Amino acid sequence: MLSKIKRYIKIHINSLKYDWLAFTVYRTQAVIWGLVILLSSISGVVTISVIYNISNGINGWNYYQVLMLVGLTNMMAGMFHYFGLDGIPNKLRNGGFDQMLVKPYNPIGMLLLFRPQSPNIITILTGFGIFATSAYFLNLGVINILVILLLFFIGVATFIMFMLTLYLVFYVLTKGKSQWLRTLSLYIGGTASSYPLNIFGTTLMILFTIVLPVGLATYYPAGFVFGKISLETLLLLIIFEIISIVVYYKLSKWLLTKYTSAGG
Amino acid sequence: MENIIEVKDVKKKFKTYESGSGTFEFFHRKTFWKNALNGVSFEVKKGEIVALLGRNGSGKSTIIKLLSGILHPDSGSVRIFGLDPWEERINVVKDIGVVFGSTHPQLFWNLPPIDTFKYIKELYEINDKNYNKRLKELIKMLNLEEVYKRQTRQLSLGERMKCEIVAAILHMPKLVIMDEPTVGVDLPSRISITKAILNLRNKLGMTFVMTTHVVDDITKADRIIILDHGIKLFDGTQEQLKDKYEKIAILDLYFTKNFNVLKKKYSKLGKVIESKNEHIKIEVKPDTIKSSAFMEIFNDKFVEDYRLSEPRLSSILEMAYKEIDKNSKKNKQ
Amino acid sequence: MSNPYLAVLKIYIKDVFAYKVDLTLSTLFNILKPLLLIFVFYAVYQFSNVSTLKGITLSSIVVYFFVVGNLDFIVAPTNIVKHMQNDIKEGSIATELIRPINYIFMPFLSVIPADIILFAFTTIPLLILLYLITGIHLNIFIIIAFAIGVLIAYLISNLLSFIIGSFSIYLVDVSGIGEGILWINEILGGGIIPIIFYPKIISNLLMLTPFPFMIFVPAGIFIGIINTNIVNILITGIVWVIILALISKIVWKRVSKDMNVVGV
Repeated sequence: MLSKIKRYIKIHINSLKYDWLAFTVYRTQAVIWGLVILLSSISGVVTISVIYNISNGINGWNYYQVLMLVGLTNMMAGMFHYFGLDGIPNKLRNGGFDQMLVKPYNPIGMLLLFRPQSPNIITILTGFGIFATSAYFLNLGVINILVILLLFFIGVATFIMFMLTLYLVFYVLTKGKSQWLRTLSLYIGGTASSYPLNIFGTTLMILFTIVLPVGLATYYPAGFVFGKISLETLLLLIIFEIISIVVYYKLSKWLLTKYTSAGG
Repeated sequence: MENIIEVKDVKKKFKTYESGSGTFEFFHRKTFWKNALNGVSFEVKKGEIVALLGRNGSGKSTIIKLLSGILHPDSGSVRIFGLDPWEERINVVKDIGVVFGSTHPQLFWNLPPIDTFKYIKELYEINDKNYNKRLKELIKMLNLEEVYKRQTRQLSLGERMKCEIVAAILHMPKLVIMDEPTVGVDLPSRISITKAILNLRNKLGMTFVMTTHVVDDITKADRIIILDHGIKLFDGTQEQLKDKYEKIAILDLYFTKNFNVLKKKYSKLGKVIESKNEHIKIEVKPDTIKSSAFMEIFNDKFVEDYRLSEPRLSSILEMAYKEIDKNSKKNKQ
Repeated sequence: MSNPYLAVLKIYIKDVFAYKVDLTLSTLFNILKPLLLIFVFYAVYQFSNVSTLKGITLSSIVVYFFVVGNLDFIVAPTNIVKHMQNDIKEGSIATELIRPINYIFMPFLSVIPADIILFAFTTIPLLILLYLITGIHLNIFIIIAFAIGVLIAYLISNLLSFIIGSFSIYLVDVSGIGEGILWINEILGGGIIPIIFYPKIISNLLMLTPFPFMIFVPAGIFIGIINTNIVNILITGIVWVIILALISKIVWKRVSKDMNVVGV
């Protein structure tokens, strides 16, 4: 098991290396790309800065606390792109997945790990920069930071497995490009996860926790450390996350058996 | 000899949609099932080179995808090295190399092929010594010395295809499956690809299954399988294929005068397949034509010239397809 | 009648319906994002316990984001960029260039059918509904000004997209550049933050650029934030349309010359 994980990590790093090489072959392109990604990632910062400039803030969260949510959201969005989730329908539609299936590896592992979209590291790093800045100004200790990051990674894993399953479900049902899923997950989900979830009312809060699980990686980890989420709630959520990941994994694997290549 | 591939009574169908041509007709599109494979069986032995032939939509690509574990048959069984390639995909594909033609390249587009080769090395855990040795051999075998360090997107289709082949066989698979590896590839590249295939088979006993449209490729194959509308029509050697249609030869007659009379006279010899004023083409069965008939042609002063030719492989295929169409029309009636 | 431009238009109308699932759902989610921002600003007004921020009431903000959600259908124009990127990346630009049509119109023809359908069947009914529910003050002058504002918004955002899309020929991998135009729309155009909320210097500077015309100007006219100098503002907008059209033409001329050099 451990050696298997090691192999996947090794190949992932290899894939990453070549994707990055390919990205930086054209320097102008790399610079433009980087700039666009950078701009997109700081749009959340601009928004909350303006809000905190003209008002007393949101629901008792101070500026840096909300800024941390923005940072975590950026990291999550960056990972969504990094693992190439929105490219999955296309890979399946035009038969590009064939090339993966003839390699001796787990198909889900390959879908997520073998063609990383390296430029999105910029988004992840920008997000991490925002996160680190807010952690610095909030005077969070190392342990608190590690707790947030650990909870964040479990949350992101749940979100990514959820999105993978969703993409596969709609691939099986419609064979379409499912571009709307991106709108749903990143525009809607990304907006929601940049703010304390409880401002959206109970229904939407549950929605963004369980139905479209974007809050798991942002609101709850940060909220727990800021003392706004109880330990019981958090433990319940962790159990939910672990069960979700297993269920989504099994479901994805089963859905991939419905793959028809470009034939139908 | 051991069987590398065993395919038994495989069926596979796909759902497709038919939508009308009107702007709003999308709303009532029809769904129907298309039979890609309708009960196909065959075997491939170790070290064989098998060419899969058939027109577009014959089910060739579906077979390739079934063999490489991408698709699962609706019924029937596929065994590679005695294993189900779909159930035990990982174990099977370790020893398979697949070339998907130009449709799904595995070379990194913006990087030189050598980077893809290095990546493949990691993917299949090839050790340094083997990797260097094989790469050197393959590059020499396919004349890629000048090519493999240049950016992939700048290479010609033929060069790219040769590199795709290297990428697919670096891990020395027992079975290599190729989906139209030579479509659009220039002649020199095609020749070196064919040479490499023969070389690898003779030296290492690799088995090759490839779909193709190119007659030159077919002539190097040990066996030919022809598919049409999801059914296997022919399975045998080139000689057997020729035999099947050997009875037929083409007789060309060139007249100087009295065209209609002569046409009528000589059309008794066989089936007229082409007829212009001064020239007719007749399908004849050489072994049934009496020598007196030839004497008659020879002595006919209005016959300016005649030629009896055996059909080439390409026209044999053409004939085979024509026969298929005729039979399927008959079946419909 | 065999007008080639009409033929192209027809194809794209079919295209709209072929992706109707995608279209419907994308439409739905587009309107949801600004609705989420209503929750955010509701929380801001509540927590600060004020009735106006920079002279704008909460109810104005609510209507503002409804209008933004509505306009986003037609003025968040990633589709032009996507169309051009596809053409360039998949090489189909070659087939479009050999048609008896000036390519410069192709991206526009590709988006117009979807936009008209969305505008007629979604934006207009929803705006009428909004008017009936909120009882917002409208007169014939405001309606005409708003209509002109929307047209200007549509033209400016699509021209900007075209200019950005043109540069994709210099990029080998172009996915993600479309995010740039969204960012402009949201941050500089008023899609997330009404321009008026920025510090005075910034908002004044922004009003000198074409960006606020993409969202803030039409939405502001509709809800009455912009109530003086409307004619002047609209004339400025028209001048921007002309300038951007000229820039597009120049850029495309230059870019199409370079096309062979870049090896597209």
